[in-house]
Amino acid sequence: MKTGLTTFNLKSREFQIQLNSMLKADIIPDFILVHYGGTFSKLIRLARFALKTVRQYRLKSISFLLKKFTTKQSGNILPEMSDEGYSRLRSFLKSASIYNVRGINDRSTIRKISRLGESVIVCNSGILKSNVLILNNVIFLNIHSSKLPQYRGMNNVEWALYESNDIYVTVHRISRGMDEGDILFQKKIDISGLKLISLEDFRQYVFSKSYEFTGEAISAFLDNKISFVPQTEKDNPLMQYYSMHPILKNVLLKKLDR
Amino acid sequence: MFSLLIPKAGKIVRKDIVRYCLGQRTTHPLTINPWSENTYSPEERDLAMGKAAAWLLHSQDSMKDAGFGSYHLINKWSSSYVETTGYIIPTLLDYGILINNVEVVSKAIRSAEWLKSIQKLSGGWQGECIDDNRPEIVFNTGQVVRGLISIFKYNGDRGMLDSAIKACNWLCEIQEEEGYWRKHAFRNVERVYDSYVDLPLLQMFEITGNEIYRQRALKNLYWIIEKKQHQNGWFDDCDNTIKHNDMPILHTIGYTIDGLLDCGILLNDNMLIEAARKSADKLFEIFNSKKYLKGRYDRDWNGSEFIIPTGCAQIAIVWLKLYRKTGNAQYLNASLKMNDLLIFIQDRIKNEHPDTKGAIPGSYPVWGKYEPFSFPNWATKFFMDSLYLEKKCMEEALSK
Repeated sequence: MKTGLTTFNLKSREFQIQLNSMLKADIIPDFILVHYGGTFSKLIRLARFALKTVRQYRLKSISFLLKKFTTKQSGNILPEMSDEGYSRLRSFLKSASIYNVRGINDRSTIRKISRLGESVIVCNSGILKSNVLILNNVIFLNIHSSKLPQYRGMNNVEWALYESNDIYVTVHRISRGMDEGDILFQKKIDISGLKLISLEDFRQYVFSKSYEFTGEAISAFLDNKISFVPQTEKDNPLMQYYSMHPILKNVLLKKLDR
Repeated sequence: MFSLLIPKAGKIVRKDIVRYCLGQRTTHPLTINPWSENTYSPEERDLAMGKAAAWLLHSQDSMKDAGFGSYHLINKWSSSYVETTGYIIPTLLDYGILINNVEVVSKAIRSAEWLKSIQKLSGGWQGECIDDNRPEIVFNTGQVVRGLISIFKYNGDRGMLDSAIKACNWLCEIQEEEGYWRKHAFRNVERVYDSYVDLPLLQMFEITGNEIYRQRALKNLYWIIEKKQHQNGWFDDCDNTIKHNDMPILHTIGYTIDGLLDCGILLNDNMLIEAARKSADKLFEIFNSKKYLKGRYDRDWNGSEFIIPTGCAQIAIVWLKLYRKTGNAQYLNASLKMNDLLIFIQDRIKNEHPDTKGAIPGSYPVWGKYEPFSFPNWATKFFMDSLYLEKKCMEEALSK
């Protein structure tokens, strides 16, 4: 089974963490779908140039490519890998496919995906429409920074904190209903000892931590160690969370201060 | 169109044309509209409640008696509404106590005394405005009883209690065997929003210990949930007209749910609470996806007509009560957003005339079908109740 990632931006933090996490788990993505956007096109050209360089200069250039994926916030993406891992990475880079697509729901993208064969794709690129979701050769995964089915929807990290519940990461299949797909992987995120500066910082911390589980989840799935479990209580409207009102965010901050 | 030519009315209508029509077409943050992410601070919310109270008191001062009228942009002030004066009393009483203002409290007491003085021989109170001189109506009588009970609880005035007992005895006498009211009902048809009459009956049972009040209230409540509520939470016979009974207004839906919920909480009856919750959750779902509620809903909860702020405030009140009952902060979250929308509707123009300043219109935009170009006192009353209850819930949330 092939593996892939989608992203709006090759430089985005979540993409880098997910790619790193997959590489750490010795999973070399077979393809990356990058959404076309004015400013992103430069990045894509850059990535292609990097790949070309890799092919030319072999291993040394891997760090050159990865350096281009690195930002100040995320630190160096170059993971600690086994020799075998490096050789797989090298072969990935030699044959890597970075597709520049107009949009994930675009007709040409659908054609491209349907030709990929059996694949698992981790999505970071907006809402998938039903014409994409019906492709039966692909499993689309979402990394959700909360426990499902309890916390579907928006601001779920804040809602879990507000209700004094633990923070989880859930990897689930993307389905038509929001965050309603079958659950593949779920793990508690340790937030003990974390100093809270702002809710936004906290959210970013939880998101980063969540994305770090991407590789572990996919690896366990490919090794048949875990399988999909359907969600319960899909019709309960109170399990669908909505954006938290600023007044409640202030209440939450005051609670956390105490 | 005529209203546009009247300076005071024209200003309001023009404002609504701009903000409503533009609001639907853009989500730009600089365009002030209910679909943008406008939120108001706790201080602005207090200010909005103060403005609403000031308008209600201005309404009372504009009457020849101690009741409360409504203001129409063309027809000006109505005479006092008997029914709504009844349920405005607890609103003003609570507000007067909140801001520690004796004058506001005494105005609420004055209204109750006026209502007592116009009670019919049967024990009931007339429908509509005092100048209409209509016969007594069940629903309206129940709402006056709410006012009298609140004053009795506040100062122990025995006269208020006697008057309320007389009214409740009359309500029990004329109730049909099946549990609904048809005789002396508005348009002589049974309606589910009489659940809003059941709460004062149950409160009177608590005060007097008269078991008949409890039995009659329960009979009506169970008639509603067993015979009239659909699986999806919608109610048959819920509109205050015959013509539009297939798609009741949010205002009467609000009465029905609130009545069921309050009675369920008072009796600790889970069947009633769950029945109220079923309908409230449906509206919760709609509100969260659309960011507002329509004026009417058909049996499949398909909405139509412009926003009816009265109903919106009533639903926010229901959610706040559900928050208190269940502790689920999602209800509080939705109420905060609904109140943002209502404050936005109230916050129209600078230097507004006292006849409309602080008042909530019958419809948003103001030319909507429900109470067009009008500021019914009950809209402002429920808006105040919603802000008051929200304030209490926020205090509780902060202390948890």
